[in-house]
Amino acid sequence: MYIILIAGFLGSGKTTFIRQLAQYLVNQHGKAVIIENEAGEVGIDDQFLAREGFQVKEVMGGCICCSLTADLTLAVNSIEAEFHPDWLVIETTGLAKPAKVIGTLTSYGQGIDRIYTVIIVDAGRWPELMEIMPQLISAQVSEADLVVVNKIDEIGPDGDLARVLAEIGEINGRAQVIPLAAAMQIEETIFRGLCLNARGGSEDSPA
Amino acid sequence: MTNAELLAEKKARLAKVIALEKPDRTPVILMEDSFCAVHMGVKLSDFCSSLKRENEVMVSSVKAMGPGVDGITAPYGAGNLFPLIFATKVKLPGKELPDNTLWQLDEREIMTVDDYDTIIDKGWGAFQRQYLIEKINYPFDSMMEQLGHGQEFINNFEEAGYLVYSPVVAATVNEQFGGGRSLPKFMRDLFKIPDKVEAALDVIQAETVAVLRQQIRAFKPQVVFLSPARGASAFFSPKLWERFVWKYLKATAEVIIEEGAAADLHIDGDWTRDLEYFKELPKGKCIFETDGTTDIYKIKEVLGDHMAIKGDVSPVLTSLGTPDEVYAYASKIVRDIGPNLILSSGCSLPPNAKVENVKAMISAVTGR
Ligand SMILES: Nc1nc2c(ncn2[C@@H]2O[C@H](COP(=O)(O)OP(=O)(O)OP(=O)(O)O)[C@@H](O)[C@H]2O)c(=O)[nH]1
Ligand SMILES: [Mg+2]
Repeated sequence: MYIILIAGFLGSGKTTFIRQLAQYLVNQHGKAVIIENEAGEVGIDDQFLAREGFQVKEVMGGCICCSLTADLTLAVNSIEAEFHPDWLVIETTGLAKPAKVIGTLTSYGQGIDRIYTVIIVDAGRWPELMEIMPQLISAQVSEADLVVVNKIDEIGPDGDLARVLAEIGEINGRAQVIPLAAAMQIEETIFRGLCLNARGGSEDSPA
Repeated sequence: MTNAELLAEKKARLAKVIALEKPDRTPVILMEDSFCAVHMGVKLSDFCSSLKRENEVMVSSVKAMGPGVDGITAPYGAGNLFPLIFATKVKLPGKELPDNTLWQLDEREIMTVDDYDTIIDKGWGAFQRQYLIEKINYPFDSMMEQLGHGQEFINNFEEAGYLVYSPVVAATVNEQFGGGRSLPKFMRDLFKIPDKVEAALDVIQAETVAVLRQQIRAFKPQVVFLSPARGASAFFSPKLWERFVWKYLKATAEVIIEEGAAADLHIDGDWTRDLEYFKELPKGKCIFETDGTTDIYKIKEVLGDHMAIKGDVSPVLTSLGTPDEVYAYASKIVRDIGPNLILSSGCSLPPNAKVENVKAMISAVTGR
């Protein structure tokens, strides 16, 4: 089972991105499951996804976030036992640092081949968030395999996309960085590349 | 030993650790609520139905863990009380959620930017009651009535020989907006209208502190729980953290101490960057309660001469680990943190913690 871990600050566009990723995975006929590990306002439209043959499981924590990673790992293990999917997409809470989740999954998760980390960044709010919570945003970006710089439609033609990209490159020079607008149609090649990398570079098997 | 003598011994032990003296052994305080329901085979919906029910179930659970336990953090569960601290709705088992699902904060923007002005003009108390009743449908008056029985709930533990560690609960005022406005909107407000946010926080702070003083005088607690949960250093730039978190945290802790109690600082998340600030608080009067995200060894290194430390057996370990793993970790911190330590879970015990793991944690102090 390949895990795609989607993280990024509250409201950055994780759920919007996952909807299209889900559609792509469904079209590839792989078995896939989504976990929403979220306390936010806009949940996944699970009816839409259920129609498409997806399983959506919500994992919620009581005391803010302290028991979330354990619950998440238990959910991953029960999904592996019950569905044995090829792909598992996890949306983490916007306040999480992926490293903690990955650490727990690596110690206690079952049936995991690889974990690929995607960080979604809100391009329009980048300067504001870097002024207000530089540590959290930098920590998230520094742990990414792929940084999706979302909402580029909100920057406008004379906006500062170049500056945002440069700052992200300084924090994490290793990650691939893709600017896009998840609210519009995302090109299939982006998802193809994502899945290829999430498998560690091996060819997309027909599954 | 009678239960009264046992209780006195436990209170004395706790007092020594807080005062940075050497206790006869490490105290064990269980921070738990939903776990007690699962432990006692009670559905979470039944558990949450009233503070009285929560108290009954928690007393039975603590007794079943045995006399080695010194006490419990609070006399009732947290689920019903979140709206009072976070100004946000809470979804409850048996109401918005299935019978056995843990309560969940339902965070969304309910407070408006205009509400800052209302609070500044009209004061917090009047605003809060109306807001909770009208905007989040909170059974405010019923909750106040139930909280009025606080002393009975405490007595139920004390008569059984267990102390209630922090019977009075406070939160730093930034929590009201982090919840009520929702965290992303609150962050945006700090960016766009920081002066207005600060003026409103100052109003809440003045009123909250006055109420807190009354509560401390009424209950005479050994320790007061103070939560700045969303105030983690990791969430704020240094300047904003100093202005919107530390200022209120420090002032509230000082009031608690002035009233004769110790301040239990409930530190969730990563506060490593700002540990030095805590030296500004009086020595031997505070407890740094870590959920494990701020490394307990780092806390000991920076603040070991200054305050006690409570924690931090992680929910991952208690729910996914084995008794041997839990015992090994708990024994290690008992040894390494030494006389500073109050042994506890890191944040609340999760409802899916294994009973044998909780027992293994306790046995790191009482022997296997
Ligand atoms: N303009 C614009 N808005 C977008 C884009 N992508 C997402 N949004 C909007 O941003 C808001 C948040 O999107 P979500 O997908 O819910 O974000 P999230 O990261 O899942 O949010 P949380 O789960 O609450 O942390 C929604 O109102 C989306 O419609 C985009 O490319 N452009
Ligand atoms: Mg979302």
